Amino acid sequence: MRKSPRFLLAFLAASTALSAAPALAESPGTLNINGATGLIDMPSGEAQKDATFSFSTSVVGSVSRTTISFQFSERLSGSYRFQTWRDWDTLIPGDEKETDRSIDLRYQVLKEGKYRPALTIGLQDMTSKGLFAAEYVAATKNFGDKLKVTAGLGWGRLGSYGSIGSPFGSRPAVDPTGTPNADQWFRGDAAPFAGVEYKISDTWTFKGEYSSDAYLLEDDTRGLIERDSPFNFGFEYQRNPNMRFGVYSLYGSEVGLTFHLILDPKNRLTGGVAGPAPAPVKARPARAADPEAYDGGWVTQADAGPILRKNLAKRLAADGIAVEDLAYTATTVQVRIRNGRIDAGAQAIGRTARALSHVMPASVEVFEIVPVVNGIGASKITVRRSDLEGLEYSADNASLLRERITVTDAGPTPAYSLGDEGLYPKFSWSLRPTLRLSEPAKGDIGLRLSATYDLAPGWVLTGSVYKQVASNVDPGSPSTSPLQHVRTDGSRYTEFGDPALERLTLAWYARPAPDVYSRVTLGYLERMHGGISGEVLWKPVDSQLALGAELNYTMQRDTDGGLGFGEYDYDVVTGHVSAYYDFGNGFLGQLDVGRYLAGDVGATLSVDRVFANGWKVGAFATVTDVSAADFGESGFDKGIRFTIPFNWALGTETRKGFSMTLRPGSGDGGARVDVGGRLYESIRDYHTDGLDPDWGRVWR
Amino acid sequence: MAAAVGQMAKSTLAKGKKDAAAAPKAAAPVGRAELAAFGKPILRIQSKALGQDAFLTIADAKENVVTWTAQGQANFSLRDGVLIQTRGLGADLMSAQVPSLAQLRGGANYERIYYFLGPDDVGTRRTYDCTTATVGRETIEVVGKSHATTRVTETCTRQNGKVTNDYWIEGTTVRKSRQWASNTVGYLEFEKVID
Repeated sequence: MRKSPRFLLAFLAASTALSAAPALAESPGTLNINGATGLIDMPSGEAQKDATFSFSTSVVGSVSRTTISFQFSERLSGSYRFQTWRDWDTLIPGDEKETDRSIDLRYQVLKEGKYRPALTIGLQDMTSKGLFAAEYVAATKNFGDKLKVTAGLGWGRLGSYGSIGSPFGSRPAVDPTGTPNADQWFRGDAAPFAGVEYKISDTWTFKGEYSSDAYLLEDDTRGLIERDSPFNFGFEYQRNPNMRFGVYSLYGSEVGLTFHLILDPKNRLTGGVAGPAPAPVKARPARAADPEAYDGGWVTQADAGPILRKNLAKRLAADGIAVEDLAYTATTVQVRIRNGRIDAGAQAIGRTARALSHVMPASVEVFEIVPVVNGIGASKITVRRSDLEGLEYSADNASLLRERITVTDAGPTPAYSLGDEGLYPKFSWSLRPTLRLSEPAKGDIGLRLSATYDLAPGWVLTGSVYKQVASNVDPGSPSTSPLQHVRTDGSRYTEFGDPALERLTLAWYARPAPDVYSRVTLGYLERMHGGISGEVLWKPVDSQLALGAELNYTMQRDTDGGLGFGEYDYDVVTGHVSAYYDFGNGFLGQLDVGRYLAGDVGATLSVDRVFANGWKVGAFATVTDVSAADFGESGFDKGIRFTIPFNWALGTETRKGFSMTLRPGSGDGGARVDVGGRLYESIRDYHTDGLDPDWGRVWR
Repeated sequence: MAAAVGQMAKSTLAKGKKDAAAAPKAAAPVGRAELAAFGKPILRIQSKALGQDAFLTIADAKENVVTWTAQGQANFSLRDGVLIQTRGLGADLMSAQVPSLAQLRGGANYERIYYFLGPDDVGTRRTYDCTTATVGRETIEVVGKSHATTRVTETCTRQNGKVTNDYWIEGTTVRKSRQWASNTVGYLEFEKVID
């Protein structure tokens, strides 16, 4: 029976079609010690609530697992796991500990119905060398609102105890590693597992299960865990929606402890965004009552411009908005703003429009607001002043205003503008404690000194220096990669370059044509490579599609974090053409095709789910002409990345956030220069696809 | 002098947010005479959920909508005394379709719509079917002064919930009211202290 994968796919498609029937409301599943939805060590048929992001850590004897999971959609979820086995040399001499990174994918084929259980198919540790590899089909049914019963069939590790035979043939050894191990999936011994979950009270839950994992690796091979029994049981405690604790008796010999941090990107921890109320729109006098107020003669006053600019800047400073430029006629004003704090573009637009209603003489009817990013206009939002006045207190004022405004290309700065007047050159710097994580709980803390010198609109000189203070990263063994070590000498850069000059660049951003954006960056682009990077992006303000091209010439930097390039004597021309597409509902896709740092040629596909409040969770994979063997143990470059905005956690207005990229393994293939200020991300916030999801904040 | 009122309002607002469970802080030390001395209209607001008791001044008035403010930190907009917007509370009421004073007094049936920003900042709405009923004449005391009012109760229902707003109406003024603002904020109580 070699047909299994195809059979499974067909089954998946058929049952998905079936499940279009309405499902009963069900409570979301709980997490197991592997950070996946399930019982204790076994998975279940349930899923988490859409978009749930969880961080789980558990300890079972000398095995610890740290897992980040994300419910990508209602049915699809994924996990990234970092696992450590201590006392690895108990029976076999060698390393004292073994570490492994694994990736899971789960798909809920059936949602629970009146009689039908929820059914999930899962691939655990689907791409690596297989220390934790397993596949399963699990079904869960609720009985009342307290009891859940789960039963399933597992392969791989989950088929290693109490096997009922090998329905889809024998399981070949993993080779080569890193690529999806499709040849192994659902092959070899299959074994049933089962368990119950009983809700004792609002805070306490009992779980009991029969495990089909024999722990062959930990018990028979390495002697780390005494597996005396297939039965596990324990209790879980959850007081608030964000934290859950568990304590278990495992396999008749071990005590297991687990902690889950459960975050919902859709729900800001503090409820709505805080921050002071806006000043109401200032109404103009009726034209009939005061026709003189509408006289445009003021434009001829020599001091009108500086006064208006000063008044506007004073009002907007309270919202962290700087006035880059101001241009006006008797009837129209264009203000170019730099939004430094407010996380929602729409709110920055709304605050600016209201400030203009206070500052501009009554004859000015059209407000053009141009958000400026890196010195270039990202878009132009045109608001009629009478709409602002008329809709302020209307029901559904946000939708009504959205229908009346236009979002267009920013266009050039009007020739009659006042100019930058004292805004350039501008120097700013910061010294901040910094967390640099290489794994969920591994990394270093240090201090980062950053400075930015805005020379003129679009011209930015920026640099940063990092000094490590404490680290729990094991430098590991030197890279044996047969490729140029464009990435795998990372630990050398960390070890020898302390403190290190991370970046020192001169960047020039411009708008060569309507809908076209450009960037040229020169200098020490990132901690391992320096040179020159050029980029062009085509992105109409209301287009779901954007196209870009990037060309770089870089040399590999010395590991001491200094200014030299002599250590490696390696230079390379890299470049990509990119397509970006906004699929709607917050799903963004990106395809890059080109040449990577080690001289390899290939493509990167990435999908991100972005939320209006700034949360972003995505996955990426790069396939190039580097063979899996040359790449290293993880086969090809892939990983997950996420950004947690501080405004979500704190409720304050801030554009800052915490970002992290996690890879199951590193290699030198498929690596791109990590240059700052790439165009698509910089400008998207102020295009319609960035403004519309949280447009309601225009009146906030 | 207005600043003093605002300052007072700001301090009570700030304290309340830190400790939502605390009992509303009484504004008792301030008497009617002191409030009248400001020579400005004053609205008292009390909120159990926010732990607030503050005096508000007018920030903006356009036709029949008045926006009351606590020192620019939090704003409350009322159309003829009926709450249509809040700002600066976090879980704000962004806009609302509300009954007119005549509808409230006339025992009408109408649709009421609340517009919010969801927790993920995506706009959401809640639509209710409402009826009003006159409870009767009631004499109420607002910061040391009696007012003869007519009490009207507005009952709004939707599939998953019910909102009951109360208004004590004196002539064409809503002298006192208890109105629902949002899930997190719950009910707000307003008293028009100084006209």
